[in-house]
Amino acid sequence: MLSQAIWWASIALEVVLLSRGFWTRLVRQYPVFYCYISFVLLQDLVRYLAHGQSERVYEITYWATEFLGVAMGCFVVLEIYRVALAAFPGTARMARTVLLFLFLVALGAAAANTWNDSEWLIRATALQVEFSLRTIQGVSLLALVISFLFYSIPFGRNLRGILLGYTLFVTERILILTFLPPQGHHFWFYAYSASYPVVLSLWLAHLWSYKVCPQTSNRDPEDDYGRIVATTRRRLQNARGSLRKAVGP
Amino acid sequence: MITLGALGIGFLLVSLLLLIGLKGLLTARELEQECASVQDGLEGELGIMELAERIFSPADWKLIQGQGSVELTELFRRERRAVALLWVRHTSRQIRQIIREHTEAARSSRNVDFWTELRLFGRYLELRLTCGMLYAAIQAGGPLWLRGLAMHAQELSRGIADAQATFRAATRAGYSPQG
Repeated sequence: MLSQAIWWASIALEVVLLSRGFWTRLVRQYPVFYCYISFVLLQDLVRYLAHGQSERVYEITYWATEFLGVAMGCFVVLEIYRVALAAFPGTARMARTVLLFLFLVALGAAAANTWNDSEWLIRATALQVEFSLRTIQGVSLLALVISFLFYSIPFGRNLRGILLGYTLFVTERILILTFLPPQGHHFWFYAYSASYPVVLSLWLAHLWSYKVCPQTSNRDPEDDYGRIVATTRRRLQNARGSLRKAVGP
Repeated sequence: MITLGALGIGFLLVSLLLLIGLKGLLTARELEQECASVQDGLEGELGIMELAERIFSPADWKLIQGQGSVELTELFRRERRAVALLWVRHTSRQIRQIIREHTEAARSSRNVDFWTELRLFGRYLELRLTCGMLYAAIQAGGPLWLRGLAMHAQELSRGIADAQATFRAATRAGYSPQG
């Protein structure tokens, strides 16, 4: 009964979120995010229909849609990166390098696992694969958030909402997959299910209307990165000299 | 049992450190509010460098100690520690400001180099860590103790260097301890 209520509440919120997106034309600004929400809405309906069929049909439907959802989520992360850093090519370059590095680390770890045990991928359960993918997604989000904070990237209310909601959702999913038993309708199962409407409400609150993103890029017409670095180096060197004077005999 | 004992000692040490840190933080914050106007005048990085030399110099300390008054010595020690803590906080804030200005300028540049940024970030972390350690050391023993410690370390290293030089010279001359 409670599961049904959460399910319908989520569907209703997704419909409202999509309607508002079309109404405020935020769909044009964040097309991938709204595609993702449309997909989740469709996924809910398909899963609901599959639930009425056999358990096997539901299981197959669940995992097929779940993995598609993870893939769509990766595109949402890329959209956050694209929109937030459009006016900041320096940070975009840094974030790209960090994301590439993370991707190579993940690929390296998978290759090492395959080298040690060639059948691990066959033996791995769908839950384990999802956990690995969600972890990569979580780490990528973390790297992006750190880059945004380090370079003081200004956010509009809309983008902040998308980032906040999706990070919350991925974090919850990682925690659930790490600590909770995969089967059974216990308290934490309901707590997790109920948190999804909370994420949707967060998105709805932040994306209710279009807010201009305050991207004040102070681009130097000469773009002399060498000069910027030299100035920072000199100033840090001064600070170091000052600290050395404090303890130096 | 040993593990529990070690855990207890560790806990005590951490608590003590936290207490020291918190006390210093509160003192420095109070002073920071009081001396806000003074700080405004110290914005120049070179000015703050000269100030460091003065705060940690033993000259004033020797002068006060020469007066022979215990109360005056204690008051001077307290005041000097507070000023030194304030100076560390100010320097730390200045380092933060430097890196903030750098990131604000670099984020829009198309030529950002990943490794250069990483090195600058490393240097920034190193300086912040130095500030943290300096803060803890001043909190624990005062600014002059810190300088004394550094001098002692330098003397020790000089002694080792001298011993090494003597040993090298002796080896070159063909001398061996066995005769």
